[in-house]
Amino acid sequence: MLKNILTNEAIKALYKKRTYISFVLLTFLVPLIILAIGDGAEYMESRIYGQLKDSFIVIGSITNGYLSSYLIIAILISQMPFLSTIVASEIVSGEYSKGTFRMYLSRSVSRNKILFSKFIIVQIYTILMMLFFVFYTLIIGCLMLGVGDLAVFHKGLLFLPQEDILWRFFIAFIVSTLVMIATSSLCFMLSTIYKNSVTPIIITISAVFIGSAISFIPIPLFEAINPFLFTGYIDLFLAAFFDPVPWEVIIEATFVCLIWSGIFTISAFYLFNKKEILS
Amino acid sequence: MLEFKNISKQFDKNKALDNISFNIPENAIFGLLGPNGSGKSTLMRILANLITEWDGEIKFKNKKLNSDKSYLNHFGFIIESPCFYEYLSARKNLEILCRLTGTDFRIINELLDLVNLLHRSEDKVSHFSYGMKQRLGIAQALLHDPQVLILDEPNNGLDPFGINQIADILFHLKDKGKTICISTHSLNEVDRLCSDVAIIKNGKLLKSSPMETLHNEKRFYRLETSHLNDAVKFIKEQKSIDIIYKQKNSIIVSQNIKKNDIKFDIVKDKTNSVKSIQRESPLIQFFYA
Repeated sequence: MLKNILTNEAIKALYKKRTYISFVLLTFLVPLIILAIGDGAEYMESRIYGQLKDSFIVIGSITNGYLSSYLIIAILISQMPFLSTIVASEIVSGEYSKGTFRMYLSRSVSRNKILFSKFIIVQIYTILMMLFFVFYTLIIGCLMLGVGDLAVFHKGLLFLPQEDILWRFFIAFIVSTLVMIATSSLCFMLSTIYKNSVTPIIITISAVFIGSAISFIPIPLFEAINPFLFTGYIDLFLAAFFDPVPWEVIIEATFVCLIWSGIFTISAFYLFNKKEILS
Repeated sequence: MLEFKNISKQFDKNKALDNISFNIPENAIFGLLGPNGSGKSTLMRILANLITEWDGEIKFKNKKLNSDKSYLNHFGFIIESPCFYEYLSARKNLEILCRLTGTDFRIINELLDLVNLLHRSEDKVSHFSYGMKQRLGIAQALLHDPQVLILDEPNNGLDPFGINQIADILFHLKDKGKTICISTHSLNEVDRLCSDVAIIKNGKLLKSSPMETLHNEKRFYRLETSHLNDAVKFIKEQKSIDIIYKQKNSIIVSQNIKKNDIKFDIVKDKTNSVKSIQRESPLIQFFYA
């Protein structure tokens, strides 16, 4: 039965145009940014090296597919919460607003199974979107700009050898996906409360903004609570490119994101089971 | 077959249903009649498990309905209006519900044929007219072959042709042994379709009865008159006639059939002010109660 309900949810998601917005957006946006990076490589490198050029002789270019992917992820990661809410915001509230729950929930099927199927679809979408974001960027970047060592800033300018890069992108993908799962779980929970899909997006993005502000403002209270908020880890993917990788911070972030995701998901089930379908 | 006992439901301070009790007999076309906001849809939502907290007891075939939702296998619903995933075809919509209840897909063609939509089965529902959606809604409700069909205002928004189509389908289903409960605010619809009726107003049950009994109790007429006072005066003198409701140029009266000692047309002759006399449904008494 669960397989049938999952199939239903997959069909509903696959036939909706909004499911593809993120993928279409990234498909066009990423190559454009890579083109811009390739075109402005000289200028960018002069900014990165700065005064180092006075002391060192630099041969060749550090601009390659890995650097462009790293930069694109750094630029776009703060926008990804928007994209992660596209499906989550509508998957439950859309059925309230269109009235389809009146027909769907008046069958002999448990509400938990229906919500669980929707939750699975939301998380599959989130993971696929992040997978596409990170690895599409990497593939297109490498195809357009080639490969080489990766130059990043960590305690100064750090060069990561070519053979030491791919697994770091994989860790970056895992970390950033965990944050997006927590974000989409929040939006999913809100979707069980509201009858329109805009309100869950607004509240989720507001929460992310407020969380980000807390992580950026250096006052003692915010510094004390920031480690317990999933929003504080949105740019943690950068840690995957530190040397050495701060595993303890990544593990801590994993726990925080999973705990928040759990809280949001359990709340969603509680709220959905209590919900009376009146429209 | 289906027994509602002391059903109450409160939304904040508003009592939507107040201690309602009635029975729906097997193989009836049962009319749940009441004005908008009377509580008909609330009652249907309770039965459909869309409202989860309420007071009272519902029995289906003498078995109390409880948190085990398996009873829903015996019911097909259209609550408020039929709803679809409009971006999917009619067939895909029905397939989704088949998957939900583990129903064989082969029934889809049979039902689309019944509601005269087989030729449009691959079209997106967003391209359907309101009448087609109502018919597709009936197909949805019938997918898992329920014994009882609960339809909330099935004729709402339909033209006379669409109303006739729905009526034909309902009579066909009754002939096949289904029990049908329709909610409506239309007296004509109940008169035309229903064998039994329950009338709800402001969340309270006014009456539950077979239609035949209501027809045999009293007759109801609407008198169009140019001199209201003359007509009222005359009618009040007649012991077998009661005034139910007065409007500017018309009166609705009831006549006790057992005391049928006066030909009603006399009113027309005696007062010389009555322009026309029109027979009304016995259900009209509850709307002016």
